[in-house]
Amino acid sequence: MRKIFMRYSGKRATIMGLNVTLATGLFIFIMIIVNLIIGQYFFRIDLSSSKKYTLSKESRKIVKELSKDIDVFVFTREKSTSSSRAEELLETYRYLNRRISYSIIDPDKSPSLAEKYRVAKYDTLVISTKDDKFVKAEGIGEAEITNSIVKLTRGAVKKIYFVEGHGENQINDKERSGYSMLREGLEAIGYPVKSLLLLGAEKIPDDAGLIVVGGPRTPFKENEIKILTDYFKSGGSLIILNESIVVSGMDRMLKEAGVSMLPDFLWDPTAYLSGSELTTLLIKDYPRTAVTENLRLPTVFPTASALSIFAAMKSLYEYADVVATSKNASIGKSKEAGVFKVGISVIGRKGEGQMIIFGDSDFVTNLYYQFPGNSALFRNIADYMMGAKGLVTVAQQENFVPMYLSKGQSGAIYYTSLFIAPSLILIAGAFMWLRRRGL
Amino acid sequence: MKYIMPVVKKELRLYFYSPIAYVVALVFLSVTGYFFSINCASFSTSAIQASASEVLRNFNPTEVIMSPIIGTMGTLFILLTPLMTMRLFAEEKKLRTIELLMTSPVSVSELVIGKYIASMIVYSMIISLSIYMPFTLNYFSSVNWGQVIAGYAGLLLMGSAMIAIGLFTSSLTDKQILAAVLGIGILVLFWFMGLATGALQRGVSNLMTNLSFLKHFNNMRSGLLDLRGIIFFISVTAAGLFLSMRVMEAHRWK
Repeated sequence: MRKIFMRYSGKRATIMGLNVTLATGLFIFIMIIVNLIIGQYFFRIDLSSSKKYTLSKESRKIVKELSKDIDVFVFTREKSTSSSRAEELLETYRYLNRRISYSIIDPDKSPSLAEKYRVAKYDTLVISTKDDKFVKAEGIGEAEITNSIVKLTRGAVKKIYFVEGHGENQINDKERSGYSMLREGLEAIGYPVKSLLLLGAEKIPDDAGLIVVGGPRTPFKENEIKILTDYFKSGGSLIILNESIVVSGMDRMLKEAGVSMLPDFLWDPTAYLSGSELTTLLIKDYPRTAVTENLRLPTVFPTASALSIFAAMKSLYEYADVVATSKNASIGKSKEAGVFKVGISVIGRKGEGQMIIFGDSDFVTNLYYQFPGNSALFRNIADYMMGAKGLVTVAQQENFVPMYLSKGQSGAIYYTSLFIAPSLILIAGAFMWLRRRGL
Repeated sequence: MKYIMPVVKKELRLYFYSPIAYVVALVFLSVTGYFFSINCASFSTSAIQASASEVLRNFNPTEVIMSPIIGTMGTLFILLTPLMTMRLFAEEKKLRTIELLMTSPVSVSELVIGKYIASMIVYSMIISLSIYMPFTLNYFSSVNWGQVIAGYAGLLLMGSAMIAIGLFTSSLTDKQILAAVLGIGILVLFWFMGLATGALQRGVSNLMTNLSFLKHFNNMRSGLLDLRGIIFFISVTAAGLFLSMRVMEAHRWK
């Protein structure tokens, strides 16, 4: 062995070979190190026409201000268009703030992780902090990601409680009059939803961010009204969906807030859902409020009643119309047409909370929640009432640049591209060949 | 480094006196020209339909015509570049002119760099023949020149890496066809590396995706100039040239 080593170690070929191997190894090592360093400290310029590698100004501000580490999990099919787009988008987020880490997860290959976050659909986003708080959203767009970051990082995620015990529409009821789709829709945007029995309770739970009274049909007890009133007076947020034909005892609470509900349903012969009765209102225009500012979709209100405000209470509460009819609506079969309020916002001027009252509880039942406008309206209200007022609306960038070619122009492009340009190359080649022959 | 320019001039003369550059340019122009004319006609028809019904997001000549055409150019050159580079060293070895070169005052690095520069010049000239396309689109409509420039930059950077790999495979053999086949094989591997990695572990899958020409090239033709992609292509170019130099050094000392 020693003889073989002595024989070959001094040979030039051996030394050269070792030299080449070491040099190659060192070179590859340096290349790897350079690429790893650049992988951490890089910059990029977005020259695309749609600016798809650049976030909106609002998103950029929110991401740059992020001061805690977050993990983004995108549950989608691997190597799909969604996963490519998600990766492009999240790479842009990470470029702005290294506190954001992301993983694209195929729920079929990681069922335990999908189960942990109760992911039931593809294209679901989960954003989580290191202490296991998380927010879930459906869809993998810039708005979903940024808004989920906002919800997760601006305070603890509070719950939405739906009051029960008075014949309200149930959050687990999948029938046409149930609120199961509403519950799923709220959970999909990151809000835990629970039911709340006021009977026997002393106060509203501390983790409540919003209380919803959804269509009560039997009267509330005194202490239940007191609990809700105390909650409102201490700054709480309430959504009350009431039906005028039902005596629920809510009218007393509404009266204290300066709101009354008129009996009879609203009719609108010029704006009602086609194929349905005149009482099924179809509303397309909205007052300019925080919850309806960006709402472009029509909403449907079956059997809604009009709300009115006591003028004398304006000194105590600030009122704003959230949803109103067209100018052709009337109450019942009355001939007096006008604009009537269907949804009102009430904000206490002395530190009380905020209430949004609707003269209808059916517009978010399973039957009507499927109307995109109805679901969007309630989601906006929930976001607004839960305190996530700084949510981002990402405008869809439109970059439509037409090009109209006449037949002659198309033909000219065709012949130039397919014949003239290649022919010039043939001519050049023939010229060089002839020239060479002549040498 | 004083012998680089004579090597470049010699290689350019060989390129223009042989049919290979013209054949590559002819194939390139014919194929891309065909797709360009078809895309222009269908874009025009679709634009009429789109404006009549609803506005489509990102329906513009840059995204719909130019970016896919640049993608087609990249795919074409996966096959054409090895044909351009196959003769660089293989022919010299076959004709035994390599011994003359090895004993001449021209160093191995000057030889390799000179041949690389000549190939890059020819490649750039072929690419530039397609410049009439964005100008045509801009005449009839408008293009986003930033995205077009990013796309051509991607073509040049990727072309540089492909030429370096082609040079390396040519240095390995005296048979041109073998050099071409080997070059195509390596380039196809690099092109498709990131795809179908679902069965692998995430870390390995990410590594392979980052080593893929397709990923970095697609970013550039979509308008994203990312330093990581630029450094990646430069690294592959440097690696190809380095390995070529090592092979030719070993040949010199045989």
